[in-house]
Amino acid sequence: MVVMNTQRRNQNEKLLADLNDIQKKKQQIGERLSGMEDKNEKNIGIKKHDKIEVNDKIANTWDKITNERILTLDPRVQGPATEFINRVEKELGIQLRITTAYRSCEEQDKLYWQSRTKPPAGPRVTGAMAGESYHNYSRAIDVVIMKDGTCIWDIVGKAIVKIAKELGFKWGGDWKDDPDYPHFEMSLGKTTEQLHNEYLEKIKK
Amino acid sequence: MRSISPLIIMFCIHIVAKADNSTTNAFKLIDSTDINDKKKINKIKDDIIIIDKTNKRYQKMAKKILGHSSEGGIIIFYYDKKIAKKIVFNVCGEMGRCIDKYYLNDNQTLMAIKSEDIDYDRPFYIKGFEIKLKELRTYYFIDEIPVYIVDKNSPNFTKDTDQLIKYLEEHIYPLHEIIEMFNNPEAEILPNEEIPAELLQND
Repeated sequence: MVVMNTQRRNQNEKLLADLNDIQKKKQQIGERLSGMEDKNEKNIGIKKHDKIEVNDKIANTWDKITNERILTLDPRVQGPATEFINRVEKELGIQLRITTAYRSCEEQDKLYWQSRTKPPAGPRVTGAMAGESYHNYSRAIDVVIMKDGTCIWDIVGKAIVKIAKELGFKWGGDWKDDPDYPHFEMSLGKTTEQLHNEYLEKIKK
Repeated sequence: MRSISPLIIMFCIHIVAKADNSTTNAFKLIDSTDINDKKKINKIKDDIIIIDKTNKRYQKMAKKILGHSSEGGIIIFYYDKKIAKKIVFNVCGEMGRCIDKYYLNDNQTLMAIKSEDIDYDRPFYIKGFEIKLKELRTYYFIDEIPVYIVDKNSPNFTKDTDQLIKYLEEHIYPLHEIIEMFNNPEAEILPNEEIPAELLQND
């Protein structure tokens, strides 16, 4: 078990090194996402993502912060995410903000290990390591209702969920034992296990 | 994917074989005011104490569970001489986490589920998040039929039978589904060192 654990840590270190390279390359490609975190959400940890072609239908919501976060999503998710925010505002009169879209593997690992040190460096908040969350693949968003510039952390209503599902999102509120009401994701045909295994294979090569 | 030892495969086969006998297809509720039921429940409470007291010497096997929450989870099986005695099911989300503990009889049927729900006031990645609500509920099983007793941990929880059944169906995985998740070949075995201390503690 100890050997397995060491192998696991070594594997993680390789993953992190690779990810750091990717992050550096992304930073060289574009700097447009810098300084976009607002005062209330400094710890969200937004990272730069692929530079993509932006047209007037993508990332054109009411909220600048949301627009920037949409651009961190997989290109196939950007359109539905934009439409989701805009339709909720137009049809229901509710303004949503995306609080998290892409989360780096580095940050995911940091969150995973913070409660597993002795003594713990932080609270236990996740059971997912790097590459085990759809957020790591830019395929998930979390939303919050905004009212008068304040985040309202209530459960999103059925009408909001209905619009998201029409656009192809799976809702975290449907999970049985621990529903995650702000969470919406698109698998794009792959489970997190499959994505994770593919990623590990790539690293091995 | 790391290799799986023959011992672990043996455990998996054992549990698959037992799953057919321990399936609870639907939750029902019976009147727990009956004195015989009370005696049975007291016996279950004693058995739970024994399991919790001795589980340090049980053999553990843990697997990661993905796809049932946004932040992953863990299932831990505790074995006493190859017989599963206790199963801990934990999933994490951005707005909270839950820990369900399934206690099993020697014949591998359910005798109780302790269910703990922890809700945050905002997602964990927002600075300053706090635990908003922490609830612990215990469901006892008499002849595989769940019996819920309102206790000090959740005095405001429903006493309505229909609501309770609906709640259980929506929030608690039946044992056979937990076993299916555990036996999923894609579920990765988690080294014991990586099992969070919170999941190894007794109530």
